[in-house]
Amino acid sequence: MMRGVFLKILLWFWVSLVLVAVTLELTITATTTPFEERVHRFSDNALTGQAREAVVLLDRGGAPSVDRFFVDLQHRTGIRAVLLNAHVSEVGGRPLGPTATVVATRALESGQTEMEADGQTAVKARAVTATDGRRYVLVATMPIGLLRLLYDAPSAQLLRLLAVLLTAAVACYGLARYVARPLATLRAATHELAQGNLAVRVAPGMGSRTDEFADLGRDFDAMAERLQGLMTSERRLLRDISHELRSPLARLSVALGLARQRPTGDSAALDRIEREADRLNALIGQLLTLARLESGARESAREIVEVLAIVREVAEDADFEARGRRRAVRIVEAADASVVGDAELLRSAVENVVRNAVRHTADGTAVEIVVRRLYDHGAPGVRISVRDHGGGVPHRALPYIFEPFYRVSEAREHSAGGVGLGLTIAHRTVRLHGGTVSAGNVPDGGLVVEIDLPAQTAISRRAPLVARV
Amino acid sequence: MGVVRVLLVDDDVELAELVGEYLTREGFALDPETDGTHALDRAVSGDYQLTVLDVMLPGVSGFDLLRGIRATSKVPVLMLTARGDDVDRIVGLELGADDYLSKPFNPRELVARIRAILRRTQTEARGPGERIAEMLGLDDVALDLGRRTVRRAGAAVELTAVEFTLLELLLRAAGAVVRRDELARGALGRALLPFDRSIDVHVSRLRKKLGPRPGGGERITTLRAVGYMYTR
Repeated sequence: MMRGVFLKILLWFWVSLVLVAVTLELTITATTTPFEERVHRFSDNALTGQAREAVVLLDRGGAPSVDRFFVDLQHRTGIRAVLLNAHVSEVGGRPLGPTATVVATRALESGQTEMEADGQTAVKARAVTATDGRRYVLVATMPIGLLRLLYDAPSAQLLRLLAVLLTAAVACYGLARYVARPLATLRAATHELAQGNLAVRVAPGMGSRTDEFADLGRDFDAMAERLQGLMTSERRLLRDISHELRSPLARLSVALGLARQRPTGDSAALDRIEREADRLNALIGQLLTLARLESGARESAREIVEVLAIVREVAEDADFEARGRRRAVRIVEAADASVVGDAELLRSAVENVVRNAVRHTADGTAVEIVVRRLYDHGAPGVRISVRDHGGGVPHRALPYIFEPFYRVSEAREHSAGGVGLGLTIAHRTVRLHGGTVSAGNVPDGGLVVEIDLPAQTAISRRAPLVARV
Repeated sequence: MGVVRVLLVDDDVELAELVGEYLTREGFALDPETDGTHALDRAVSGDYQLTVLDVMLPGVSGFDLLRGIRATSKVPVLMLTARGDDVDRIVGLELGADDYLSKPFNPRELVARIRAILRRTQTEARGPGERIAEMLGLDDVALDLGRRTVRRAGAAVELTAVEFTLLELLLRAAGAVVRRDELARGALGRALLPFDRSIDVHVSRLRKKLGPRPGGGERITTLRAVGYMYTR
């Protein structure tokens, strides 16, 4: 995008500058006498003037004074000139070169300025009539460079155009950079901020600018500063809550232990107190996990995670726990797949779903886990399906089971012992990894929860792990 | 052996009182310490057979304290972490804590962990006369079971007590898989709880310290959800 703005500014200004230059050139050419003609006219007049002067000098002082005049002319302009009479012979009687003879003859016949040029020099001739009616021809030999300066108008135009193109390009490049640079800096900073780096600031990248971009940069920095402050205090608050709520719970647990050390205690009541304390503790733990997930405060690791390995570990542990309740956890289909993400978070997501299934499956049945590769819409993925053999969930309740503290039925959930945040945590975690979670009832009874995760491909995109909640 | 003295570093005075009362009945003597700087001096003083350290101390980081203790002393440290905070747990074990317990804890569990750690460290700390002067070695790694030191290619490798026992168990069964719960029982002195990753953390740390095999490749291979094997 930035390259877009840069290119656009560069091209727009460049093209418009070039257009202005071309238009100006065309207008000047169209509204004034063509340059060549003016030069022509000038050199004609000049040549005629020199010729007349030479003729006058010839009249007054003869050939020697003409020679002096020509020596002086060559001195001043580098043009060598000779004066010929109507018979095409030099007035002083000196011999002539063949070119001069030819051009002079032509000039006498046409009455115009005639010219002949080779690589080095140009020879011009102009006939004039003296006051006594005799005709003379002035033949001037000049270096070609002089003429080229006067006559090479088309290439001069090209040169001018090139000069405009170049200077315009340099100026426009500078302008485009001047505008696009702060934009690029701001954009990079915004991107980093979105990725969770709240310490990013743009002021150092703005240099000594004092324009609107610099103002925008300052505002951005102020915003980042405030975000960082809020985030830091939120993290501190989370940590404080965790500490402060757990301290009384820790004391309660130890006090409970003390009560149990004395044989007089009512052990049934103590069991109940312990169970409730455990539940409260689990609830605090899950609330904190959820809060961390939502605020994105947890610096998520990005590593290649073997899904099957995680599922195996969770299944083995959950199976061990479920055995006590005459329930089991089995993996019925196992496909190898890896995803990119945070292994601990993904493990807890799978664990929450599996534990939920263990809680709800009927005694004597098994929770079935299927790990399967997906090829939806060409994007490879992996699906983890966890199916229980319980009563399922009423159809109208299905969309809500991932919401915090949602209970399908008060009595059932309470006896099952969940605190109502496990599935929510699983849902948020999977979303954080770019996946989806859905739940549905199985026709022959029970609930199936499907976790779909984008699989890691050969060339893995190093996309940031940012929550889009 | 007299009464086992335990140092509890925790800012919660009331909790320390309760735990003290509980431990006294179990035959321990517990001294509370709330101040981080004093805690370091007391923990390394040699007066205590074990330190219970809460990593969530206000002001001073429990991890810094643990690092300080480990710089000079091998006194067993049981770490108290917030439940569910895997990062704290892993960092603590990596810094050389002997075991962890998440807070709030059941005092019965606390006593069981303390006893397990003490059993382990007391076998290690037997007098030199009673030590078995046995050497164990494979490839470039040599274990002196008497002195409890490890050399790799002649150079000493610093291992914690848990890591040393893990390596010993794996080397004795080199070429065969040792189950995770066997490793836990042998090295931590307790059974593995469901969803307990402490053995994996210790093994990964051991791996890092030993580096790859002389010919390249993993020294210790993982069999997911089963256990670990020292490659022959």
